Amino acid sequence: MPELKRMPLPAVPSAAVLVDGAVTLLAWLLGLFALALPLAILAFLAWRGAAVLSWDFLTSGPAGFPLGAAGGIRPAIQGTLALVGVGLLLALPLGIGGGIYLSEYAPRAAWVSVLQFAVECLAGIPAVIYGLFGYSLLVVFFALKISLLAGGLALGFLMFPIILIGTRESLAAVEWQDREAALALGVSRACAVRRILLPKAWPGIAAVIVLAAGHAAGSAAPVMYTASTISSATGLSLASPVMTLPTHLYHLVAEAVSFDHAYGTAFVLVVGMLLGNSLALLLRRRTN
Amino acid sequence: MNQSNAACLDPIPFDVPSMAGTGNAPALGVFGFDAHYGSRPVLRDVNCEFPQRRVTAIMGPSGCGKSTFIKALNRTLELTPGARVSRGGVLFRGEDIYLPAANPADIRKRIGIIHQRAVIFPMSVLENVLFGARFHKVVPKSGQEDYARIQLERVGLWSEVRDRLHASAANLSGGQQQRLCLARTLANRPEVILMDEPCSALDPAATRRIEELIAELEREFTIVIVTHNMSQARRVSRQALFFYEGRLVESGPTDQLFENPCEPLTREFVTGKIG
Repeated sequence: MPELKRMPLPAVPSAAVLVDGAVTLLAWLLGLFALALPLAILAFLAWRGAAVLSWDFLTSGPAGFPLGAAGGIRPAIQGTLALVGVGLLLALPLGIGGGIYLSEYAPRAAWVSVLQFAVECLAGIPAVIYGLFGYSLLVVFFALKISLLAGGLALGFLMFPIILIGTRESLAAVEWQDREAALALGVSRACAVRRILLPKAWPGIAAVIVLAAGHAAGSAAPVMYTASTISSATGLSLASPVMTLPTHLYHLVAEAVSFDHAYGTAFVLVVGMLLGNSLALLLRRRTN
Repeated sequence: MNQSNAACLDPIPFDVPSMAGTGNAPALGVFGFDAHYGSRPVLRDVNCEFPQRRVTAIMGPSGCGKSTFIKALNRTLELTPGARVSRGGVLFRGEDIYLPAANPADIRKRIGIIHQRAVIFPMSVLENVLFGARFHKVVPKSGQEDYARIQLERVGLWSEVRDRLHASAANLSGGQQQRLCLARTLANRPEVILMDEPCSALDPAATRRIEELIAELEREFTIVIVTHNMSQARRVSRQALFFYEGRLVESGPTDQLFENPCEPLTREFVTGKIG
């Protein structure tokens, strides 16, 4: 067998090889940066919050003077979960129902495109606008006062377009042949949606619900003027204001109450979001 | 036109003499039929009939409109985005299925269709078979499992799936999936079965099983099958239609279309010069 000879590399690499190498290096650096940034934030929060992080921190209420300088964040966790829960009661039926309508029932007409564009714009509106809108509509006009109900509904407005768009896109990703095969058996469109299209689209829809809920849980602006209070001694009630994680964090920092407690609170909030996003990722992977 | 061939002078394409006097009206009749995708015409002025309890093959090169045509026969064409029937109609048991009063769901139940690619629903084998039948309440709840077994036996699938009736149907082979689709359509108790290139994604052994099934089902059902495979058309059908560029060029007994076609285009197609 003849000996294979390696082709000699050119003494001076061509411009294409140099550019290729530079782009590869840049891509690696940017990728590392993108990976390092969230890990660094998490590590920093854990390190600075380590002084207060404990089981008691999660399970007891704020204490000390000024309030929050000691104790834990249990009411804020409860308040945030309750707000998101109330919001989902509004956003789930409206968002999923609207997504099903746009994907499966809406005619191909100009007004439907306008509607869809409007919903997409709604998803891009800054969270603080939802706060102001919720304040003027719910707190003042409907006289709900600053309460769990008003804040929950404001978060519902925030989550509704995200869930609607995600539902519509998950359904649109189901192959057209599935609809054809189902309807060709003479079943109603509702039956095809319920028994075939929704089960197929469900992992994607569930993932977007988790993402929307995470977004809502982490937003201070929509609940600042509609639901939040510095301390809530009483239990949860729809008519009373609640503590929330993001506004509690804001309060701890803005009033310089306790930076250790602020870092601890931020760590809990970020870990909560991370768990939520991981769940969304797992659900989405099941779709593919 | 070949004037020496007597059959070609007959303005009615099918073998009317054998049907005369038997009261055997055609199962489906198509008249003055035009269809469009958007503004592009895909079918122009199609007129033909499908005799009862016969297999009719629809042949033609790719893009000739044969899939469009077969879907128009049970009102599933309108499920394709952009497709519409622009003129004419389809008579089924003497009534036009395109009249505003006609119920598309009912028509699709009575005229079933098998698609080119088997579409399996995200549920068990049993649930797949009963999908349409449950909706139409074809069988009482108590007898559903037995009913599903009968359908699976009819398509020769029972012995292969009896141990995994409650498992997902997604793990079946391509040929098994296509037979499952056939069982699902049979469970609806249709009167006509349309098949749109049912074997194009199958291997020769699976294709033979489907062809054997077609031969068995011909005794009970009117069957229309689209195929681009000429030898399959010869094997399974007794009547054939030849489409070219959206027009029905010729129709008649399959043997005649292959051995003694009237139209030069048909002759070129069956001898492999076009298509």
